[in-house]
Amino acid sequence: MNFEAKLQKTFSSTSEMLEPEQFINKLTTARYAQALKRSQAISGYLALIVVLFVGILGYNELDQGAILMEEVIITAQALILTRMRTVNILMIWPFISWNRKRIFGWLFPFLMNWHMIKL
Amino acid sequence: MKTDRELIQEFQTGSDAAFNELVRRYLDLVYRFFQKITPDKMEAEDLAQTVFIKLFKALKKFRFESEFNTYLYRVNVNTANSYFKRNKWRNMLHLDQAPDTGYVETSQEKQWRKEEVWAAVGRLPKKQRLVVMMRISQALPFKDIGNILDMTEGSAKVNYHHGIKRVKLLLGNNK
Repeated sequence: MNFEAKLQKTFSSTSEMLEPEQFINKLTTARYAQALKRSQAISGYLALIVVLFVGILGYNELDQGAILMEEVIITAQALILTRMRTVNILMIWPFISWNRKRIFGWLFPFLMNWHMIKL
Repeated sequence: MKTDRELIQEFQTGSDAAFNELVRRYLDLVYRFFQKITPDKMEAEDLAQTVFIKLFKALKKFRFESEFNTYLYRVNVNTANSYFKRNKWRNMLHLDQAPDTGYVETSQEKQWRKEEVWAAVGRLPKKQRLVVMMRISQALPFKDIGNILDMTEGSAKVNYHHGIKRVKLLLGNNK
C-alpha cells in the first residue's frame, strides 16, 4: 500500500453525522451571542471615547492653579461649591482619581507652569 | 427544489429560512471535513459552527463570482488553517508524545492515528499544508484543489509532492 493510500485509510473510518435541526438551533444561539458581544464592545468603546473626550475638555478648562497636589478632594469640593464648572469636575473626577499619581506626579506641575507662563 | 443561487438570493433579501436550508444542505459536507481534521467531535462541531457563522456574515455580500461549493471549501480550508495555527504548539507536543505501541512495526504495517498525521500536516508551510489537507481528507482532484486555493493545477501538484514528502519524514516513514 503506498503512502497516500495509507493516509487516506487513516481517515476513512469517520462517518458520524449531526442532527441538522439541533445544529441550526445552536448556530442561531451562537450568532445572537456573537452579535450581542459585538454591540456591547462597540457601546463600551463609544462610552470610553465620550468619557475621555469630555474629561480632556473639562480638564483643560479647569482653573488648574487652584488644585493642590495632595488635597484633590477638598479642592474639587471647594471648586464645586465656590467656583464654576461643576459639571466638568464631576465628569473628569473618576479619571483624576484613577490616575492621580500619574497626572499629579509630572503632568500637573507641567500644566501649572504652562498656566503661569500664560498669565 | 431550489438551487444554491436561489437560496443565497433569498437570504440576501432577508430570509433566514433560506440560510437554514443551506445549512441543512451542506452540514454533512462541512462536518465531515472537520471530523477528518480533528479527533474531537465537539471541536469538529465548533469548527463547523464557525464556518456557518462566517457564511452568514459573508453571504450577504456574495457576488456569485465563484461557485458556492468552491467558496464553501475555501471557507472550510481557511477555518482549518486557523485551527492549525492555533494548535501548532499543541500539535508539536502530540507528535513528540505519540504513544509507544510496544512492538516494532514495519512501514507496511504501520497505521497512524489521525492526530499524528494532522500534527505533521500542521507543521508544513501554509501552501503545502492547504494542498495536503484538501487532498488527503477530501481526496479531491488537483484541478479542483487549484480552483479552491487560487493556484494552478501544476502548482497544487508540486506543493502536494513537497508537503507529502515532509509528512512522510515527520511520521518516520522514509521508505
